[in-house]
Amino acid sequence: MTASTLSAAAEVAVGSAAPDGRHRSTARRASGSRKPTRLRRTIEIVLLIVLCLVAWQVAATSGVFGQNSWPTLGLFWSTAVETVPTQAYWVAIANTMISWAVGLAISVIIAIPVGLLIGSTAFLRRLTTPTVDFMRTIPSIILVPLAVLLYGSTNQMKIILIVFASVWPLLLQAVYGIRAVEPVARETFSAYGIRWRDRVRFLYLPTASPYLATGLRLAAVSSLLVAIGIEIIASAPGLGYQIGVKQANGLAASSFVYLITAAVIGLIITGVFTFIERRAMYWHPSRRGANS
Amino acid sequence: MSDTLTSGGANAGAGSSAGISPSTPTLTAEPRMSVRSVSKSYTSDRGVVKRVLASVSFNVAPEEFVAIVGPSGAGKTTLLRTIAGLMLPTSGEIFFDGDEVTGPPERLALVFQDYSRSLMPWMTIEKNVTLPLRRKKLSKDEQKRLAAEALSAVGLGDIGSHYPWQLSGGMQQRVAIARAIAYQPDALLMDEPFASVDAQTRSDLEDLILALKKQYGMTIVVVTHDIDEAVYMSDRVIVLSGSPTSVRQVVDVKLGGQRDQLVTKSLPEFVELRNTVLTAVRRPVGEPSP
Ligand SMILES: Nc1ncnc2c1ncn2[C@@H]1O[C@H](COP(=O)(O)OP(=O)(O)O)[C@@H](O)[C@H]1O
Ligand SMILES: [Mg+2]
Repeated sequence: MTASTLSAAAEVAVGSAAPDGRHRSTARRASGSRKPTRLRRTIEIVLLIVLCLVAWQVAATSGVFGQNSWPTLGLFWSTAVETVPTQAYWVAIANTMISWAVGLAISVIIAIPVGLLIGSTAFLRRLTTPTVDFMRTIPSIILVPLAVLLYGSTNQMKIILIVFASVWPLLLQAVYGIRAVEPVARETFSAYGIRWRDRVRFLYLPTASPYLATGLRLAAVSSLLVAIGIEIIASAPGLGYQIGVKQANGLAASSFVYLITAAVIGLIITGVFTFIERRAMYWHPSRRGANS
Repeated sequence: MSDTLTSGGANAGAGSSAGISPSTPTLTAEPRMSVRSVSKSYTSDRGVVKRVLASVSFNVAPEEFVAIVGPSGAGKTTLLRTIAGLMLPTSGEIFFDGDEVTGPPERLALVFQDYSRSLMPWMTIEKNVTLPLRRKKLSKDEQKRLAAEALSAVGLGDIGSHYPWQLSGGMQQRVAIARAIAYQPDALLMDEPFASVDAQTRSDLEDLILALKKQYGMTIVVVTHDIDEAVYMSDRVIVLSGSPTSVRQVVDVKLGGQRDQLVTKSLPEFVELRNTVLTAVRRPVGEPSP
Protein backbone atom coordinates (compact mmCIF):
# COMPACT_ATOMS: atom_id res chain seq x y z
CA MET A 1 0.00 0.00 0.00
CA THR A 2 2.79 2.32 0.93
CA ALA A 3 4.52 2.21 -2.41
CA SER A 4 1.40 3.10 -4.34
CA THR A 5 0.31 5.81 -1.92
CA LEU A 6 3.79 7.26 -2.04
CA SER A 7 3.85 7.54 -5.79
CA ALA A 8 0.34 8.92 -5.81
CA ALA A 9 1.42 11.34 -3.14
CA ALA A 10 4.20 12.70 -5.27
CA GLU A 11 1.83 14.72 -7.45
CA VAL A 12 -0.35 15.93 -4.62
CA ALA A 13 2.45 16.90 -2.32
CA VAL A 14 4.05 19.59 -4.44
CA GLY A 15 3.57 22.93 -2.82
CA SER A 16 0.86 21.73 -0.45
CA ALA A 17 2.90 22.11 2.66
CA ALA A 18 5.45 23.76 4.84
CA PRO A 19 7.03 27.19 5.14
CA ASP A 20 6.38 29.66 2.38
CA GLY A 21 9.16 30.88 0.15
CA ARG A 22 9.97 33.93 2.18
CA HIS A 23 13.67 33.31 1.93
CA ARG A 24 15.34 36.05 -0.04
CA SER A 25 17.63 34.27 -2.42
CA THR A 26 14.87 32.25 -3.97
CA ALA A 27 16.70 29.74 -6.07
CA ARG A 28 15.24 28.95 -9.41
CA ARG A 29 15.11 25.38 -10.48
CA ALA A 30 16.13 24.41 -13.95
CA SER A 31 12.95 23.18 -15.52
CA GLY A 32 12.60 20.57 -18.16
CA SER A 33 15.35 18.48 -19.70
CA ARG A 34 18.80 18.89 -18.23
CA LYS A 35 21.44 17.44 -20.55
CA PRO A 36 21.12 19.79 -23.54
CA THR A 37 21.02 22.75 -21.11
CA ARG A 38 24.31 21.72 -19.53
CA LEU A 39 26.03 21.27 -22.91
CA ARG A 40 24.76 24.64 -24.04
CA ARG A 41 26.00 26.28 -20.88
CA THR A 42 29.48 24.82 -21.37
CA ILE A 43 29.59 26.14 -24.92
CA GLU A 44 28.42 29.54 -23.74
CA ILE A 45 31.07 29.69 -21.04
CA VAL A 46 33.85 28.70 -23.42
CA LEU A 47 32.67 31.31 -25.91
CA LEU A 48 32.58 33.94 -23.17
CA ILE A 49 36.14 33.15 -22.09
CA VAL A 50 37.40 33.31 -25.67
CA LEU A 51 35.61 36.62 -26.12
CA CYS A 52 37.20 38.04 -22.97
CA LEU A 53 40.68 36.97 -24.05
CA VAL A 54 40.19 38.58 -27.45
CA ALA A 55 38.95 41.78 -25.78
CA TRP A 56 41.97 41.68 -23.45
CA GLN A 57 44.39 41.41 -26.34
CA VAL A 58 42.63 44.19 -28.27
CA ALA A 59 42.72 46.40 -25.15
CA ALA A 60 46.43 45.69 -24.66
CA THR A 61 47.57 46.28 -28.24
CA SER A 62 45.34 49.22 -29.18
CA GLY A 63 46.76 51.39 -26.43
CA VAL A 64 43.42 52.97 -25.42
CA PHE A 65 44.42 52.53 -21.77
CA GLY A 66 47.75 54.27 -22.28
CA GLN A 67 51.19 52.88 -23.02
CA ASN A 68 52.24 49.83 -21.00
CA SER A 69 49.32 50.01 -18.56
CA TRP A 70 47.61 46.88 -19.93
CA PRO A 71 49.91 43.94 -20.69
CA THR A 72 49.41 41.69 -23.67
CA LEU A 73 48.36 38.10 -22.99
CA GLY A 74 51.87 36.88 -23.84
CA LEU A 75 53.57 39.29 -21.44
CA PHE A 76 50.99 38.54 -18.75
CA TRP A 77 51.58 34.82 -19.08
CA SER A 78 55.38 35.03 -18.92
CA THR A 79 55.16 37.38 -15.89
CA ALA A 80 52.75 35.01 -14.20
CA VAL A 81 55.07 32.05 -14.72
CA GLU A 82 57.84 34.16 -13.18
CA THR A 83 55.81 35.55 -10.23
CA VAL A 84 53.83 32.57 -9.03
CA PRO A 85 56.84 30.58 -7.70
CA THR A 86 58.17 33.56 -5.71
CA GLN A 87 57.79 33.83 -1.96
CA ALA A 88 56.47 37.41 -2.21
CA TYR A 89 53.48 36.16 -4.22
CA TRP A 90 52.47 33.61 -1.63
CA VAL A 91 53.12 35.97 1.27
CA ALA A 92 50.79 38.49 -0.35
CA ILE A 93 48.08 35.82 -0.71
CA ALA A 94 48.62 34.70 2.88
CA ASN A 95 48.35 38.23 4.23
CA THR A 96 45.08 38.84 2.42
CA MET A 97 43.59 35.47 3.24
CA ILE A 98 44.58 35.49 6.90
CA SER A 99 42.98 38.86 7.52
CA TRP A 100 39.98 37.70 5.48
CA ALA A 101 39.58 34.52 7.50
CA VAL A 102 40.15 36.12 10.89
CA GLY A 103 37.87 39.05 10.04
CA LEU A 104 35.12 36.74 8.83
CA ALA A 105 35.45 34.45 11.84
CA ILE A 106 35.22 37.37 14.28
CA SER A 107 32.19 38.71 12.40
CA VAL A 108 30.48 35.32 12.63
CA ILE A 109 31.26 34.96 16.33
CA ILE A 110 29.87 38.42 17.08
CA ALA A 111 27.00 38.69 14.63
CA ILE A 112 25.29 35.31 14.80
CA PRO A 113 24.65 35.04 18.56
CA VAL A 114 23.78 38.74 18.78
CA GLY A 115 21.53 38.51 15.73
CA LEU A 116 19.75 35.42 17.05
CA LEU A 117 19.25 37.15 20.38
CA ILE A 118 17.94 40.36 18.82
CA GLY A 119 15.73 38.42 16.44
CA SER A 120 14.09 36.47 19.22
CA THR A 121 13.36 39.45 21.46
CA ALA A 122 10.79 41.96 20.25
CA PHE A 123 12.09 44.56 22.69
CA LEU A 124 15.72 44.29 21.52
CA ARG A 125 14.57 44.34 17.92
CA ARG A 126 12.74 47.63 18.34
CA LEU A 127 15.69 49.05 20.24
CA THR A 128 18.39 48.10 17.74
CA THR A 129 16.74 48.28 14.32
CA PRO A 130 17.39 52.02 13.73
CA THR A 131 21.02 51.72 14.82
CA VAL A 132 21.71 48.65 12.70
CA ASP A 133 19.99 50.21 9.69
CA PHE A 134 22.17 53.28 10.05
CA MET A 135 25.46 51.52 10.76
CA ARG A 136 25.22 49.16 7.81
CA THR A 137 24.97 52.07 5.39
CA ILE A 138 28.39 53.40 6.49
CA PRO A 139 31.00 52.15 4.02
CA SER A 140 34.12 50.72 5.68
CA ILE A 141 36.30 52.90 3.48
CA ILE A 142 35.26 56.01 5.41
CA LEU A 143 36.82 54.53 8.51
CA VAL A 144 40.18 53.82 6.88
CA PRO A 145 41.93 57.03 8.05
CA LEU A 146 40.77 56.53 11.62
CA ALA A 147 41.78 52.86 11.67
CA VAL A 148 45.17 53.58 10.11
CA LEU A 149 45.74 56.31 12.68
CA LEU A 150 44.99 53.89 15.48
CA TYR A 151 46.64 50.72 14.23
CA GLY A 152 48.88 51.69 11.32
CA SER A 153 48.85 49.77 8.02
CA THR A 154 48.65 46.39 9.69
CA ASN A 155 46.61 43.22 9.38
CA GLN A 156 44.96 44.21 12.65
CA MET A 157 43.64 47.42 11.09
CA LYS A 158 42.41 45.45 8.09
CA ILE A 159 40.65 42.93 10.29
CA ILE A 160 38.82 45.64 12.21
CA LEU A 161 37.51 47.18 9.01
CA ILE A 162 36.58 43.77 7.60
CA VAL A 163 34.61 43.03 10.74
CA PHE A 164 32.90 46.38 10.49
CA ALA A 165 31.82 45.59 6.92
CA SER A 166 30.86 41.95 7.44
CA VAL A 167 29.11 42.03 10.75
CA TRP A 168 25.99 43.78 9.41
CA PRO A 169 24.89 41.38 6.66
CA LEU A 170 25.42 38.49 9.07
CA LEU A 171 23.56 40.22 11.87
CA LEU A 172 20.59 41.06 9.68
CA GLN A 173 20.39 37.56 8.23
CA ALA A 174 20.48 36.09 11.74
CA VAL A 175 17.61 38.38 12.75
CA TYR A 176 15.59 37.39 9.65
CA GLY A 177 16.44 33.75 10.25
CA ILE A 178 15.13 33.63 13.77
CA ARG A 179 12.03 35.56 12.81
CA ALA A 180 11.27 32.96 10.15
CA VAL A 181 10.54 30.35 12.83
CA GLU A 182 7.02 29.04 12.28
CA PRO A 183 4.76 29.81 15.26
CA VAL A 184 3.10 26.40 14.85
CA ALA A 185 6.51 24.71 14.90
CA ARG A 186 7.46 26.63 18.03
CA GLU A 187 4.20 25.59 19.70
CA THR A 188 4.78 22.00 18.68
CA PHE A 189 8.11 22.08 20.50
CA SER A 190 6.59 23.64 23.56
CA ALA A 191 3.53 21.36 23.58
CA TYR A 192 5.88 18.37 23.72
CA GLY A 193 7.97 20.04 26.41
CA ILE A 194 11.15 19.82 24.36
CA ARG A 195 14.19 21.12 26.20
CA TRP A 196 15.69 24.51 25.42
CA ARG A 197 18.88 23.00 24.02
CA ASP A 198 16.96 20.76 21.64
CA ARG A 199 14.80 23.68 20.56
CA VAL A 200 17.90 25.58 19.49
CA ARG A 201 19.33 22.53 17.78
CA PHE A 202 16.22 21.23 16.04
CA LEU A 203 14.15 24.36 15.51
CA TYR A 204 15.96 27.68 15.70
CA LEU A 205 19.22 26.77 13.99
CA PRO A 206 17.67 24.73 11.16
CA THR A 207 15.13 27.48 10.44
CA ALA A 208 17.81 30.14 10.49
CA SER A 209 20.48 28.16 8.64
CA PRO A 210 19.53 29.17 5.08
CA TYR A 211 19.51 32.79 6.19
CA LEU A 212 22.81 32.41 8.02
CA ALA A 213 24.35 30.72 4.99
CA THR A 214 23.24 33.62 2.78
CA GLY A 215 24.68 36.07 5.30
CA LEU A 216 27.90 34.07 5.35
CA ARG A 217 28.21 34.20 1.57
CA LEU A 218 27.57 37.94 1.49
CA ALA A 219 30.03 38.50 4.34
CA ALA A 220 32.70 36.26 2.80
CA VAL A 221 32.60 38.18 -0.47
CA SER A 222 32.45 41.62 1.13
CA SER A 223 35.31 40.70 3.50
CA LEU A 224 37.53 39.95 0.53
CA LEU A 225 36.55 43.14 -1.26
CA VAL A 226 37.21 45.21 1.84
CA ALA A 227 40.53 43.45 2.53
CA ILE A 228 41.86 44.09 -0.96
CA GLY A 229 40.43 47.60 -1.21
CA ILE A 230 42.02 48.61 2.06
CA GLU A 231 45.35 47.06 1.06
CA ILE A 232 45.31 49.27 -2.03
CA ILE A 233 44.26 52.43 -0.23
CA ALA A 234 46.23 52.09 2.99
CA SER A 235 49.24 50.14 1.72
CA ALA A 236 48.63 47.29 4.13
CA PRO A 237 50.43 44.07 3.18
CA GLY A 238 48.56 41.73 0.83
CA LEU A 239 47.33 41.27 -2.74
CA GLY A 240 45.85 44.76 -2.85
CA TYR A 241 49.14 46.33 -1.88
CA GLN A 242 50.95 44.45 -4.65
CA ILE A 243 48.31 45.46 -7.21
CA GLY A 244 48.71 49.13 -6.29
CA VAL A 245 52.44 49.29 -5.89
CA LYS A 246 53.22 47.33 -9.08
CA GLN A 247 50.87 49.50 -11.11
CA ALA A 248 52.42 52.67 -9.65
CA ASN A 249 55.89 51.48 -10.61
CA GLY A 250 54.90 50.79 -14.19
CA LEU A 251 54.92 47.00 -13.71
CA ALA A 252 51.50 46.54 -15.28
CA ALA A 253 51.96 42.84 -16.08
CA SER A 254 52.97 42.04 -12.49
CA SER A 255 50.06 44.10 -11.18
CA PHE A 256 47.73 42.09 -13.43
CA VAL A 257 49.05 38.82 -12.06
CA TYR A 258 47.98 39.90 -8.57
CA LEU A 259 44.73 41.33 -9.87
CA ILE A 260 43.78 38.09 -11.61
CA THR A 261 44.83 36.13 -8.53
CA ALA A 262 42.44 38.23 -6.42
CA ALA A 263 39.65 37.65 -8.95
CA VAL A 264 40.20 33.88 -8.94
CA ILE A 265 40.14 33.81 -5.12
CA GLY A 266 36.90 35.80 -5.24
CA LEU A 267 35.38 33.27 -7.62
CA ILE A 268 36.46 30.34 -5.48
CA ILE A 269 35.02 31.94 -2.34
CA THR A 270 31.73 32.67 -4.07
CA GLY A 271 31.58 29.12 -5.40
CA VAL A 272 32.31 27.49 -2.07
CA PHE A 273 29.88 29.63 -0.10
CA THR A 274 27.14 29.25 -2.70
CA PHE A 275 27.59 25.50 -2.37
CA ILE A 276 27.32 25.74 1.43
CA GLU A 277 24.22 27.88 1.08
CA ARG A 278 22.55 25.30 -1.16
CA ARG A 279 23.37 22.51 1.24
CA ALA A 280 21.86 24.48 4.11
CA MET A 281 18.66 24.80 2.11
CA TYR A 282 18.14 21.19 1.03
CA TRP A 283 14.75 21.14 2.74
CA HIS A 284 13.67 24.59 1.66
CA PRO A 285 10.64 24.91 -0.68
CA SER A 286 12.76 26.72 -3.26
CA ARG A 287 15.38 23.98 -3.42
CA ARG A 288 13.59 20.72 -2.66
CA GLY A 289 15.02 17.78 -4.48
CA ALA A 290 17.48 19.96 -6.38
CA ASN A 291 20.40 18.36 -4.56
CA SER A 292 21.11 15.31 -2.43
CA MET B 1 -34.53 0.12 20.72
CA SER B 2 -32.03 -2.64 21.26
CA ASP B 3 -33.49 -4.45 18.25
CA THR B 4 -32.20 -1.99 15.73
CA LEU B 5 -28.94 -1.60 17.56
CA THR B 6 -28.29 -5.31 17.72
CA SER B 7 -29.06 -5.89 14.07
CA GLY B 8 -26.85 -2.96 13.18
CA GLY B 9 -24.09 -4.35 15.33
CA ALA B 10 -24.40 -7.79 13.79
CA ASN B 11 -23.95 -6.33 10.34
CA ALA B 12 -20.85 -4.61 11.50
CA GLY B 13 -19.51 -7.86 12.78
CA ALA B 14 -19.66 -6.58 16.30
CA GLY B 15 -22.02 -9.24 17.58
CA SER B 16 -24.32 -8.36 20.40
CA SER B 17 -21.87 -6.11 22.16
CA ALA B 18 -23.32 -3.12 20.29
CA GLY B 19 -26.02 -1.44 22.35
CA ILE B 20 -24.78 0.57 25.27
CA SER B 21 -21.28 -0.69 25.45
CA PRO B 22 -19.65 -1.53 28.77
CA SER B 23 -16.62 0.40 27.52
CA THR B 24 -18.57 3.64 27.71
CA PRO B 25 -16.70 5.52 30.42
CA THR B 26 -18.35 6.22 33.71
CA LEU B 27 -18.62 9.91 34.31
CA THR B 28 -18.40 9.50 38.06
CA ALA B 29 -14.66 8.70 37.93
CA GLU B 30 -12.21 11.53 38.51
CA PRO B 31 -12.10 13.45 35.25
CA ARG B 32 -8.96 13.34 33.16
CA MET B 33 -9.55 16.93 32.15
CA SER B 34 -11.60 19.51 33.89
CA VAL B 35 -12.34 22.89 32.34
CA ARG B 36 -13.78 25.21 34.97
CA SER B 37 -15.34 28.57 34.08
CA VAL B 38 -12.58 29.28 31.60
CA SER B 39 -12.67 32.62 29.85
CA LYS B 40 -10.10 33.95 27.44
CA SER B 41 -9.61 37.42 25.98
CA TYR B 42 -7.06 38.52 23.44
CA THR B 43 -5.55 41.97 23.75
CA SER B 44 -4.37 43.48 20.49
CA ASP B 45 -1.24 45.62 20.17
CA ARG B 46 -3.45 48.68 20.32
CA GLY B 47 -4.94 47.51 23.59
CA VAL B 48 -8.31 46.42 22.19
CA VAL B 49 -9.63 43.52 24.23
CA LYS B 50 -11.48 40.79 22.38
CA ARG B 51 -13.40 38.34 24.51
CA VAL B 52 -13.36 34.93 22.84
CA LEU B 53 -14.32 32.45 25.56
CA ALA B 54 -16.85 33.29 28.25
CA SER B 55 -16.99 30.84 31.11
CA VAL B 56 -16.59 27.49 29.42
CA SER B 57 -16.95 24.47 31.71
CA PHE B 58 -16.91 20.73 31.05
CA ASN B 59 -15.19 17.56 32.19
CA VAL B 60 -13.67 14.76 30.17
CA ALA B 61 -13.55 11.32 31.76
CA PRO B 62 -10.62 8.95 31.30
CA GLU B 63 -10.85 7.13 27.96
CA GLU B 64 -13.77 9.23 26.92
CA PHE B 65 -14.01 10.56 23.36
CA VAL B 66 -15.35 14.10 23.29
CA ALA B 67 -16.08 16.06 20.14
CA ILE B 68 -16.32 19.84 20.28
CA VAL B 69 -18.34 21.54 17.57
CA GLY B 70 -19.05 25.18 17.02
CA PRO B 71 -19.09 27.81 14.31
CA SER B 72 -15.85 28.95 12.75
CA GLY B 73 -14.21 31.64 14.82
CA ALA B 74 -16.02 30.49 17.96
CA GLY B 75 -12.74 29.95 19.78
CA LYS B 76 -12.34 26.19 19.42
CA THR B 77 -8.64 26.45 18.68
CA THR B 78 -8.27 28.93 21.52
CA LEU B 79 -9.95 26.45 23.86
CA LEU B 80 -7.72 23.54 22.82
CA ARG B 81 -4.56 25.62 23.10
CA THR B 82 -5.60 26.68 26.57
CA ILE B 83 -6.30 23.09 27.62
CA ALA B 84 -2.91 22.09 26.18
CA GLY B 85 -1.25 24.67 28.39
CA LEU B 86 0.12 26.71 25.49
CA MET B 87 -1.55 29.76 26.97
CA LEU B 88 -3.20 30.60 30.23
CA PRO B 89 -6.91 31.34 30.54
CA THR B 90 -7.84 34.92 31.39
CA SER B 91 -9.90 33.53 34.24
CA GLY B 92 -10.98 30.08 35.40
CA GLU B 93 -8.89 26.94 35.76
CA ILE B 94 -8.05 23.83 33.84
CA PHE B 95 -7.10 20.59 35.56
CA PHE B 96 -5.37 17.65 33.99
CA ASP B 97 -5.26 14.46 36.05
CA GLY B 98 -6.07 16.53 39.08
CA ASP B 99 -3.25 19.07 38.58
CA GLU B 100 -3.86 22.62 37.53
CA VAL B 101 -2.54 23.29 34.03
CA THR B 102 0.03 26.09 34.02
CA GLY B 103 2.12 24.80 31.12
CA PRO B 104 1.94 21.92 28.64
CA PRO B 105 1.17 18.75 30.68
CA GLU B 106 3.58 15.92 30.07
CA ARG B 107 0.94 13.25 29.56
CA LEU B 108 -0.91 15.22 26.89
CA ALA B 109 -0.35 15.49 23.13
CA LEU B 110 -1.84 18.00 20.73
CA VAL B 111 -2.31 17.49 17.00
CA PHE B 112 -2.44 20.91 15.39
CA GLN B 113 -4.95 22.07 12.82
CA ASP B 114 -2.05 23.25 10.69
CA TYR B 115 -0.33 19.88 10.74
CA SER B 116 1.95 20.52 7.77
CA ARG B 117 3.60 23.38 9.60
CA SER B 118 3.95 21.32 12.73
CA LEU B 119 6.26 18.90 10.91
CA MET B 120 9.84 20.09 10.52
CA PRO B 121 10.77 20.08 6.81
CA TRP B 122 14.48 19.67 7.60
CA MET B 123 13.90 16.43 9.49
CA THR B 124 13.02 13.01 8.12
CA ILE B 125 9.71 11.47 9.09
CA GLU B 126 11.45 9.26 11.62
CA LYS B 127 13.22 12.24 13.23
CA ASN B 128 9.94 14.15 13.33
CA VAL B 129 8.19 11.27 15.06
CA THR B 130 10.97 10.66 17.58
CA LEU B 131 11.39 14.37 18.36
CA PRO B 132 9.07 14.39 21.42
CA LEU B 133 10.67 11.16 22.67
CA ARG B 134 13.92 12.97 23.39
CA ARG B 135 12.31 14.10 26.59
CA LYS B 136 11.85 10.51 27.76
CA LYS B 137 14.97 8.66 28.65
CA LEU B 138 14.86 6.06 25.91
CA SER B 139 17.62 4.47 23.89
CA LYS B 140 17.96 5.30 20.20
CA ASP B 141 16.75 1.84 19.28
CA GLU B 142 13.74 2.12 21.55
CA GLN B 143 12.86 5.48 19.98
CA LYS B 144 13.14 4.02 16.50
CA ARG B 145 11.00 1.07 17.47
CA LEU B 146 8.27 3.33 18.87
CA ALA B 147 8.38 5.49 15.74
CA ALA B 148 8.12 2.50 13.41
CA GLU B 149 5.28 1.08 15.48
CA ALA B 150 3.37 4.37 15.48
CA LEU B 151 3.89 4.84 11.75
CA SER B 152 2.58 1.39 11.00
CA ALA B 153 -0.33 1.97 13.41
CA VAL B 154 -1.43 4.93 11.26
CA GLY B 155 -1.06 2.86 8.12
CA LEU B 156 2.22 4.33 6.94
CA GLY B 157 4.84 1.74 6.26
CA ASP B 158 8.47 2.22 5.56
CA ILE B 159 8.60 5.99 5.06
CA GLY B 160 10.86 6.93 7.97
CA SER B 161 13.62 8.20 5.71
CA HIS B 162 11.37 10.47 3.65
CA TYR B 163 10.87 14.17 4.28
CA PRO B 164 7.42 15.59 5.14
CA TRP B 165 7.26 17.59 1.93
CA GLN B 166 7.54 14.40 -0.09
CA LEU B 167 4.19 13.24 1.29
CA SER B 168 0.58 14.17 0.51
CA GLY B 169 -1.52 16.18 2.95
CA GLY B 170 -3.30 13.09 4.24
CA MET B 171 -0.01 11.31 4.85
CA GLN B 172 1.46 14.32 6.63
CA GLN B 173 -1.56 14.33 8.89
CA ARG B 174 -0.98 10.66 9.66
CA VAL B 175 2.63 11.45 10.53
CA ALA B 176 1.46 14.15 12.95
CA ILE B 177 -0.88 11.62 14.53
CA ALA B 178 1.88 8.99 14.62
CA ARG B 179 4.13 11.45 16.43
CA ALA B 180 1.43 11.97 19.05
CA ILE B 181 0.91 8.21 19.44
CA ALA B 182 4.62 7.39 19.67
CA TYR B 183 4.72 9.83 22.57
CA GLN B 184 2.21 7.55 24.34
CA PRO B 185 0.09 10.25 25.96
CA ASP B 186 -2.84 9.64 28.26
CA ALA B 187 -4.84 12.21 26.37
CA LEU B 188 -4.85 13.41 22.81
CA LEU B 189 -6.24 16.76 21.65
CA MET B 190 -6.88 17.20 17.94
CA ASP B 191 -7.81 20.44 16.24
CA GLU B 192 -9.89 19.86 13.10
CA PRO B 193 -7.63 16.99 12.21
CA PHE B 194 -9.32 16.02 8.98
CA ALA B 195 -10.44 19.39 7.67
CA SER B 196 -8.14 19.44 4.68
CA VAL B 197 -8.11 15.87 3.43
CA ASP B 198 -10.37 14.30 0.83
CA ALA B 199 -13.56 12.48 1.85
CA GLN B 200 -12.18 8.96 1.48
CA THR B 201 -9.03 9.71 3.49
CA ARG B 202 -11.19 11.46 6.01
CA SER B 203 -13.36 8.47 6.81
CA ASP B 204 -10.26 6.25 6.85
CA LEU B 205 -8.65 8.57 9.38
CA GLU B 206 -11.81 8.67 11.51
CA ASP B 207 -11.78 4.90 11.78
CA LEU B 208 -8.04 4.95 12.36
CA ILE B 209 -8.46 7.25 15.37
CA LEU B 210 -11.23 5.07 16.77
CA ALA B 211 -9.03 2.00 16.39
CA LEU B 212 -6.04 3.73 17.99
CA LYS B 213 -8.17 4.89 20.88
CA LYS B 214 -9.19 1.30 21.54
CA GLN B 215 -5.64 0.05 21.16
CA TYR B 216 -3.98 2.62 23.38
CA GLY B 217 -6.86 3.51 25.69
CA MET B 218 -6.41 7.25 25.25
CA THR B 219 -8.73 10.04 26.22
CA ILE B 220 -9.46 12.03 23.08
CA VAL B 221 -10.87 15.50 22.49
CA VAL B 222 -11.46 16.39 18.86
CA VAL B 223 -12.52 19.76 17.53
CA THR B 224 -14.47 19.52 14.29
CA HIS B 225 -17.01 21.45 12.32
CA ASP B 226 -18.38 18.32 10.75
CA ILE B 227 -21.41 17.23 12.74
CA ASP B 228 -21.58 13.71 11.27
CA GLU B 229 -17.98 13.22 12.19
CA ALA B 230 -18.57 14.51 15.72
CA VAL B 231 -21.46 12.12 16.32
CA TYR B 232 -19.81 9.19 14.55
CA MET B 233 -16.62 9.32 16.57
CA SER B 234 -17.54 10.53 20.02
CA ASP B 235 -19.09 9.50 23.30
CA ARG B 236 -20.20 13.07 23.86
CA VAL B 237 -20.60 16.14 21.68
CA ILE B 238 -20.08 19.56 23.22
CA VAL B 239 -21.77 22.29 21.21
CA LEU B 240 -20.26 25.74 21.61
CA SER B 241 -22.25 28.92 21.06
CA GLY B 242 -21.05 31.92 19.10
CA SER B 243 -19.02 34.78 20.53
CA PRO B 244 -18.18 35.18 23.31
CA THR B 245 -18.31 31.44 23.50
CA SER B 246 -19.75 29.17 26.13
CA VAL B 247 -21.09 25.62 26.17
CA ARG B 248 -24.54 25.67 24.59
CA GLN B 249 -25.45 22.03 24.84
CA VAL B 250 -23.90 18.68 25.65
CA VAL B 251 -25.20 15.70 23.69
CA ASP B 252 -24.51 12.17 24.93
CA VAL B 253 -23.82 9.82 22.06
CA LYS B 254 -24.93 6.38 23.13
CA LEU B 255 -24.04 4.48 20.02
CA GLY B 256 -21.81 1.89 21.65
CA GLY B 257 -18.13 1.19 21.32
CA GLN B 258 -18.29 -0.39 17.90
CA ARG B 259 -18.70 2.09 15.06
CA ASP B 260 -18.90 1.49 11.36
CA GLN B 261 -19.06 4.11 8.64
CA LEU B 262 -22.02 2.51 6.85
CA VAL B 263 -23.89 0.81 9.65
CA THR B 264 -23.57 3.41 12.39
CA LYS B 265 -24.35 6.31 10.11
CA SER B 266 -27.60 4.70 8.95
CA LEU B 267 -28.88 3.94 12.42
CA PRO B 268 -32.01 5.95 13.30
CA GLU B 269 -30.30 6.89 16.59
CA PHE B 270 -27.41 8.34 14.65
CA VAL B 271 -29.72 10.41 12.47
CA GLU B 272 -31.57 11.61 15.54
CA LEU B 273 -28.38 12.60 17.38
CA ARG B 274 -27.08 14.31 14.30
CA ASN B 275 -30.28 16.37 14.06
CA THR B 276 -30.09 17.24 17.76
CA VAL B 277 -26.55 18.53 17.37
CA LEU B 278 -27.36 20.34 14.14
CA THR B 279 -30.32 22.07 15.75
CA ALA B 280 -28.13 23.12 18.68
CA VAL B 281 -25.46 24.50 16.36
CA ARG B 282 -27.97 26.40 14.25
CA ARG B 283 -30.03 27.89 17.05
CA PRO B 284 -29.57 31.67 17.08
CA VAL B 285 -27.61 33.17 19.93
CA GLY B 286 -29.62 33.79 23.06
CA GLU B 287 -32.39 31.29 22.38
CA PRO B 288 -32.73 28.88 25.30
CA SER B 289 -32.22 25.19 24.76
CA PRO B 290 -35.39 23.08 24.89
N1 LIG C 1 -3.47 35.09 18.91
C1 LIG C 1 -4.63 35.75 18.73
N2 LIG C 1 -4.71 37.08 18.94
C2 LIG C 1 -5.86 37.75 18.77
N3 LIG C 1 -7.01 37.19 18.40
C3 LIG C 1 -7.03 35.87 18.17
C4 LIG C 1 -5.82 35.08 18.32
N4 LIG C 1 -6.14 33.80 18.02
C5 LIG C 1 -7.45 33.79 17.70
N5 LIG C 1 -7.99 35.03 17.78
C6 LIG C 1 -9.39 35.38 17.54
O1 LIG C 1 -10.19 34.63 18.41
C7 LIG C 1 -11.35 34.15 17.73
C8 LIG C 1 -11.42 32.66 17.85
O2 LIG C 1 -10.36 32.08 17.12
P1 LIG C 1 -10.12 30.52 17.06
O3 LIG C 1 -9.90 30.03 18.44
O4 LIG C 1 -9.06 30.25 16.09
O5 LIG C 1 -11.53 30.01 16.53
P2 LIG C 1 -11.91 28.63 15.81
O6 LIG C 1 -10.79 27.68 16.00
O7 LIG C 1 -13.18 28.21 16.50
O8 LIG C 1 -12.19 28.93 14.39
C9 LIG C 1 -11.26 34.64 16.31
O9 LIG C 1 -12.09 35.76 16.18
C10 LIG C 1 -9.83 35.03 16.15
O10 LIG C 1 -9.73 36.11 15.29
MG1 LIG D 1 -9.53 26.69 14.62
